[in-house]
Order: sequence, then structure tokens, then C-alpha cells
Amino acid sequence: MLLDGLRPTLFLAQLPNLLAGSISIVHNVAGSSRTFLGEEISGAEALRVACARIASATSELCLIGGAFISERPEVLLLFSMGGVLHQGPWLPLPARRGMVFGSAGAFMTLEPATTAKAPIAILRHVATDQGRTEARPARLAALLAATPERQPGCMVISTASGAEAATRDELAALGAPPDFFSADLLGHLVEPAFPAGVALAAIAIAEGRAKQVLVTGTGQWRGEAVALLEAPA
Amino acid sequence: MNPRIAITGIGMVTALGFGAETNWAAMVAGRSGIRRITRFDTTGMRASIAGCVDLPGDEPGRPLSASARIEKLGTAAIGEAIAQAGLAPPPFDGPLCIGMPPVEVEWPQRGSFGATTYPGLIAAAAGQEGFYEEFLFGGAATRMAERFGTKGVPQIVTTACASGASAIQLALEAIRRGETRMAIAAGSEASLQPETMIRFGLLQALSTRNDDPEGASRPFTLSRDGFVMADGAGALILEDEAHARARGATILGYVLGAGEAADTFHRTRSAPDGSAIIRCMQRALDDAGLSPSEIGYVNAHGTSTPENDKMEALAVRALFGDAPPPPVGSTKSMIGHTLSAAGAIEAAICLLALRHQMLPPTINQADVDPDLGVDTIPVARPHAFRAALSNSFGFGGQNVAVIIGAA
Repeated sequence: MLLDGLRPTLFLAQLPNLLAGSISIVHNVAGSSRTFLGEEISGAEALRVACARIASATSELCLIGGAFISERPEVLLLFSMGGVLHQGPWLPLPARRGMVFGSAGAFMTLEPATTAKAPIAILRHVATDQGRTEARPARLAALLAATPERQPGCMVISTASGAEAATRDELAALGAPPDFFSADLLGHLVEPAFPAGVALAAIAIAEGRAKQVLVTGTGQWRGEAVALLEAPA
Repeated sequence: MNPRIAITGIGMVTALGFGAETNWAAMVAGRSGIRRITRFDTTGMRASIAGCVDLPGDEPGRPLSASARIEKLGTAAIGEAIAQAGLAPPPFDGPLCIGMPPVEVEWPQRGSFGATTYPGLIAAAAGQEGFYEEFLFGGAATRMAERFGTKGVPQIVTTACASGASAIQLALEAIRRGETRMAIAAGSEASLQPETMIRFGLLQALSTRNDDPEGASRPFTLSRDGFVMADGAGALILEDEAHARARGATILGYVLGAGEAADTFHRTRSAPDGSAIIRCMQRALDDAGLSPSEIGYVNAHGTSTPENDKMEALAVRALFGDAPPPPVGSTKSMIGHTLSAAGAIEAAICLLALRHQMLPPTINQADVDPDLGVDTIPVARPHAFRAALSNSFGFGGQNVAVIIGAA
């Protein structure tokens, strides 16, 4: 029955790298193509590696981002097992007792700041870390301490998931509440959550709402990330 | 030409056994690890053979999940590599870069909740944190990273059948950028479970030579009819050369370079002129600063599918131009196609071949396809060479080539 009743290409839709493969075909991206696995931190790590490739002149141009479709029972099953889904009516992120998902795709093009013709924003700093959860507050503090100095009026966007312990640690590390939670605007996006937060920061800069934006993220289970964006000189 | 990176440890698990030297001895003897699947019921499946690595925890009727198996196989290969490099015990002063497949909640776990609808399943499974941590995409690699005490975020890459080679690239680049002095580059694969067999069966990608398991993976032959799925894991310890020398490590060989090219032609097929495959091999040569004539052995992707072997032979011949190409072998003839692990396992096989100055064979070569025009190494033989090219091509147009050099 299974072998006769299913479309052969159904399987291909289940390979995460087929998103990148389809982008290669549709947009003629013929260089590297790498797909990272691992929930929230994979999106942040993909951004960090992409930036490092540009900074080291391994790449002159890079497309980075991700996509997440939440309206699938498979997704709810996995995260329900972890007890990390918010139940009940809508609440703003700090009041949530778990994650409220959204669906989105978010991509950015990266180029060297020295040669980009019309930069929307400058990605000044991206850093990630990961380890056991008990040392998460210390890693978040170290990541923030190593971020270039924030000027007065620096906007802060948190991509916190809503998962309780991780969100609590991120908010404690920030000290003051962020200006925005991306999960309030878009729902929580898991893999593309951090790239989407960085894209929102770039939009805020392009619209003149901020000259500098700090983006933070903490994986529901593992991983921490920060990025600092600035207006082009 | 970019700096070469030292290899100071390797580890391997395949259907031929645990351990790199165990595998090497079996390959040189031309042994096949392919057999009938006994771990689960294959009734009604087109293919019922595979390169199985059965583990102690695989109880009859209750096999371990792919995620648990990936973790066990990867842990074995990485542990072997770290021990050889003289870097045990933890922590490991660098990142884990690992190729692996996506994982999912499988039918035995679903069935255990006794619900027949998704709402019922979601309600019944609520709070099963053990399953949550087992089936997160980042779960297995994170547990390996924490076991070995690697630094930072594990770079878990999935580029289909090129994943293991992509992991080598990620590690190579991190060392060349000066982000780290050393890294673990690995691949671990254990997708051998009923649903995956059905999916690949739907694509008609698998060999159905079920009555002759050991003869089923027959790359480059006229009678090749598909690949044979396999479990496995491979790991390499990559190190900045000066760092390896300063700590007195034995340098086993080098990663001289790597190249990749995305094929924009089709999701599962190469461009008919082989251009993306040729480009990825050429980029690897350029990265290593080598000319084609300096490559003494090609460990082919060589899956034993009609399409791959034809395109790959065409591309290799094109790369070498008027000169005859070096011997082109597929060790998948013996261990099967380890998918996400293949790039790491086969890079380690290239290193073993260089160290032993011996070419592992492509077995089952009774009816070599004469149109392919390559020496497929039907029997292991001594060979003097300094560099080997390892190809990995994946669905989604993912093509990666890695060049391994002798110490």
C-alpha cells in the first residue's frame, strides 16, 4: 500500500537540504550550499559561519537564512513531548509558559562591508556558544561582555523562544527588557528565529528607527547567540 | 593553494566492523558487509538487504531509533579517532563538525502511546522529555559534543549524501581561519529503518538484488541496479600542522583541499554534461594547489546506480582530459552507501590507502561497463601515490570533493 500509494518525490520534501537545493535551482546559486541541523542555534551558527566566510574572503557573497512551517502535527508532537509548548490563550512573550510558533522564511544576502554597493545595515558582530544548561547564564554573560560597546539608544531585539528556563536566563542576562521580542511579532520560528531577528534589526536600521541593534537568542534546549548591527557609515 | 591540514586520528564503523584497521583488512580482502536485514521486518519492501551494523541495544522487535544509533556509531568512530590522536580524555579543544541525517519520531515510539489520531498522540506524548531530547535535530550531536567536551556549537550539517564531506570542509575552514587549532570532522548515519527503506524504495534508488546481498553493490558494472543502504560512521581529527608538530602528534596524512559546487539542474540528477561535478573536483584541486596528474586514486561516490556511475565516470574522464585518469574505485561495493557518513568514511579510507600504498578494490566487477572507460580496481593492489580524491554527491545538487595527501 505504502509503496503504491505515495508520490516518489514525497521523500525529497523531508530532506532539509532540499530547501537549499530548490533555492540553488530557482535562483541559480551555484557555489557552496550548506544546511545546518539543530533547532534555534543552527540558524545562528549558519549566520556566524557565513559571516566568518565573508570576513576571511572565502566567500564574496552569501545567502543565509531559513524557513519553518509550524502548522504540522509532527512539529507539535515533538515539542509537546518536551513540554515546551505554551497552552491556553495568547499572552505576550514574557508571560508565556512555553513556545507559540509561527511560520516564516527569512533570508539575507551578506557581502563584504568594504565592497557592498548599497548596504542595508552592517553586521558588526556575531557570536555563538553552547554547552550544558547549568552554565548557560555564564555563557550568555560572556557573549554579551564580548559584544562591541553598545551606544545609548541601542535597540534590543530578543529572539527568545518562550521555553521557560532558556527565556528566563536570556532576560536575566540582558538586565533590562528588550525593545521587541521577535516571537511576539512573528511567533517563534525555531531554526530561522535568529536569522529572522537579525533581518528585523536590519529593517529597523534601514527605516531609521535605530542606529544600532543588539539581537539575542537562546535555544529552547541548547545554544546561545548574539549579533550587533549598525547603520552604514 | 591553501594551507594543508594535518590528520592525526581516524575512526570508522561500517558493516565490515568496528575500527579503521579492521575495516581496512576486510576491504583489502574484498569482503562484503552487505546482508539481509534482520533488525526489522522487510515484508513487502522492494529492497531487503543493507550494510547493517547491529548494536547490542537492538532488541528483536524493538530496534533502537535512528537517532540513538547515530549517537552510538558516531561516538565509537570519534572515540577511536581521538584516542589515536592522543587527545583523550575530554575536553577536546575545538569544535565538532558532523554530517548526519534528519531524525524523526519513529513508528515504534508513536505506537507506544496507543493513540490513533494526531491530537490523541500529541496529548498522550506530552511531557515525554526523553523522546523530545532523543528526536531533536540537535540531540544526538549535542550529546556527542558534551561527551567529548568539544568547544562551542556543534556544526551539524546535512547536505544529503555529501554531509560527511561537508563536515570536513567546515572543520578545514575553521582551522584555516584561525578560529581553532583543531577540530573533529565526522559523519554518522543510521537511517536504516522501515520508513527510510520505503522512501528510497519509492525513488527506485535501491538495488533489489535481494537474493545476492554480497553481489548487490556493483558500481560501474552493466548490471548495477541501485545503491545498497548502510549504517556507518567515520571521524577524522584535523589539526593545524604546526600545532600537531608542537605537541608531538603523529601526522597520518593531510587534507590538502576541498571543493564544492551546487548543481542547479535538478533536485536529484546531475547536469547532463557533468559540469557541476567537474567544477567541484576542479575547485578541490585548485584549493589544494594540485594538477590532475598529481592525483593517484579516486575514491568515487560510486553508488552503483545507473545514473551516478555513468555521470561520475564521464566527469572524472573530463577532469583528466587527454591523460588517462588514475584508478577509480568504489568502496561502497563492500560497505554499501552510508549516506551522511560516506564522505567522512571514504576520506578515512583514502588516508588508509595512502598509508598502506595499496588500493582497496571495487568488488563484484564481473561485468564492467566498458563505456565508462575507467580502471575500477577489481582486486586490491599495491600502488605508489601521494594524493587521493574523494567524491561525495548528494540529492539537492550537493557536490563536494576532498583531497587527502600522504604524510
